[in-house]
Amino acid sequence: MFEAWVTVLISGLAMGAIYALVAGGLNLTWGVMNVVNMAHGVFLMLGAYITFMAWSYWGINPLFTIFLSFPILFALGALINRFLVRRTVGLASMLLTFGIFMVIENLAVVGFGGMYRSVRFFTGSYDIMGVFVSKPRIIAAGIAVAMSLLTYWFLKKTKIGVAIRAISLDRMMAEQCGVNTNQICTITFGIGAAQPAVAGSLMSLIFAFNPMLGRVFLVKAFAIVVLGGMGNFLGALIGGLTIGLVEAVIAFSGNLHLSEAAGFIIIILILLLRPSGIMGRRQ
Amino acid sequence: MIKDVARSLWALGWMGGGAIAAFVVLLLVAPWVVSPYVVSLFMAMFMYIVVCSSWNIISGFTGYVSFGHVVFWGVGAYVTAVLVWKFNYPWPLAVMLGGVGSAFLATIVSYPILKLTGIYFAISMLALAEAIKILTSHFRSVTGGGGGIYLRPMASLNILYLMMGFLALAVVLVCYSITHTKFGRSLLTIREDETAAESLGINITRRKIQALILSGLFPGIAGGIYVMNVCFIDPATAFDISITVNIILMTTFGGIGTIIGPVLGPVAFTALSEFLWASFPFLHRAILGAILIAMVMGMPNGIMPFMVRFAQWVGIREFFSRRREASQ
Repeated sequence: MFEAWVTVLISGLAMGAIYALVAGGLNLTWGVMNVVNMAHGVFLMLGAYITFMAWSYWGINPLFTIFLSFPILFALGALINRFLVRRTVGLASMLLTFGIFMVIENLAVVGFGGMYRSVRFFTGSYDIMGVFVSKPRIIAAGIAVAMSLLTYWFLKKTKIGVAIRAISLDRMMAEQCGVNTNQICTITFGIGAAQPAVAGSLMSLIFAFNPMLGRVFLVKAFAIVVLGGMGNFLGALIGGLTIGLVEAVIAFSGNLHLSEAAGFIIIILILLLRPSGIMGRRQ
Repeated sequence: MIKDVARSLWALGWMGGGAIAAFVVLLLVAPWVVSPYVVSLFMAMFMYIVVCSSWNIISGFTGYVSFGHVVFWGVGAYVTAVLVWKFNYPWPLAVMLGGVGSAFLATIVSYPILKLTGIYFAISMLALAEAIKILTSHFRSVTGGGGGIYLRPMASLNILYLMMGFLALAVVLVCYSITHTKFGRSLLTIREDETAAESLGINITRRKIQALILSGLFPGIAGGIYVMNVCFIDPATAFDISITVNIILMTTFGGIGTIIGPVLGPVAFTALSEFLWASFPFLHRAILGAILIAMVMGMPNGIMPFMVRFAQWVGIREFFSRRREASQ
């Protein structure tokens, strides 16, 4: 029984690490640009399809396809920001990005077809003293955590990262100090699109997907951001791990539907009880 | 309050009264003139008029943009379906109780959820709709689970169509008359400035709760009528986020915070989406998405600026102006 629980916890944490990557991108656009990106789900789906295409047509190792999905979706995100998102904030951006979601999802259904695809590259699991660790999950989780930490380092240490954080504190002031806010916001939105794409690439290793993949994450990613505190990058990581863990535990207790609902119930409770998130300071 | 309502209805004048009479005559005559297909199209249009006008009460007048309003519609549909299916209630009673059910949901969630503002309110409504969708799938014994509920056809299309039509008329009149009452004016004040509203002695918590309940009541009835017509409901259709987006899209197109906006939007979009559905069966969602993008970018206030110019030219201002008196 003990081994079973450890197995469940590890698999929940692995899933949580990937959630955290999706939420990290959302968190960045929300915290820095005040843009609520409803389209992160389709960016994730596109990432998964890039991996699938590259693997099935050219036989590229799926782990290396993140070097494709990151720049492609970065460019797409930057273009979307340059021509559309830049001019809206708040609720209008929510509607706008939902429009983008509808367009891309529909085009994906027409282009890729509605059938389920999967990337069967890593299969099986490691058996460590009775604890089973699924190979694709643990590899994907490792990369996801590395990617989250890399972004964290990027935000803390590089010049562009400092500019991004300056904008999230006070946009006008940052502009006064010589930050090219339009350019930095374009980079931010690009990263905000590329991170879910990498998460999608990793997710394609774990389960089968179709163009509707993004819908599951439409609200779940918000739950993670709200849980961790908006604009708090480490908060998103911890929020993601928490939600992955909670879902796995509830699902293991025999209730698949309630594990799906957990995220939404958490979002409502957190907003009511501690609006600044578990990591945020009270205002 | 009743005096204000009566006065506002009197103020409709010949033009307004004539328009209502013309609408009622057309409503009654239509089933004998047009095909059942057009009647059901009208019914869908009236349903969106009801839902959009209700959304407009909380989001347009009060300024709390709800991103999960489909939840009230879905709960109304489910309450009606369950009452008819499990407990053999007569369907007209079940439809009314559908409205009671959604208003009850609005009552429970209103106090905590209305503490949030802006995007946080929008997102928690979205989460509420998704959570209730999943809970509906989960409690199989009550709701029939993910497979949904099938009902025996009980009411004829024409009767349901007339009910929906009169409901739409009633909701639009309610929206019109509350803007003439103290209640409606306090909602407008809350939208413009909550702190100022409070300092004027308006009990903002109570007013917001009342607005949300009123705004949750009518979609529930509309959902009940819908489910009696379609005779099938499942969680995926009852709590579909696209319905919420349609509501926001239509109302924004018509003009948020106006009375005629939530009527014009559904009229235009039902025709448009029917055309798109028929002409581009595979791409109509992408085209609707593109229209949504174009609207947010190009005309964030919808067609209202054009309509106001037209109305000033004709000389009727009452229905078209975004009501701002309260703040001035």
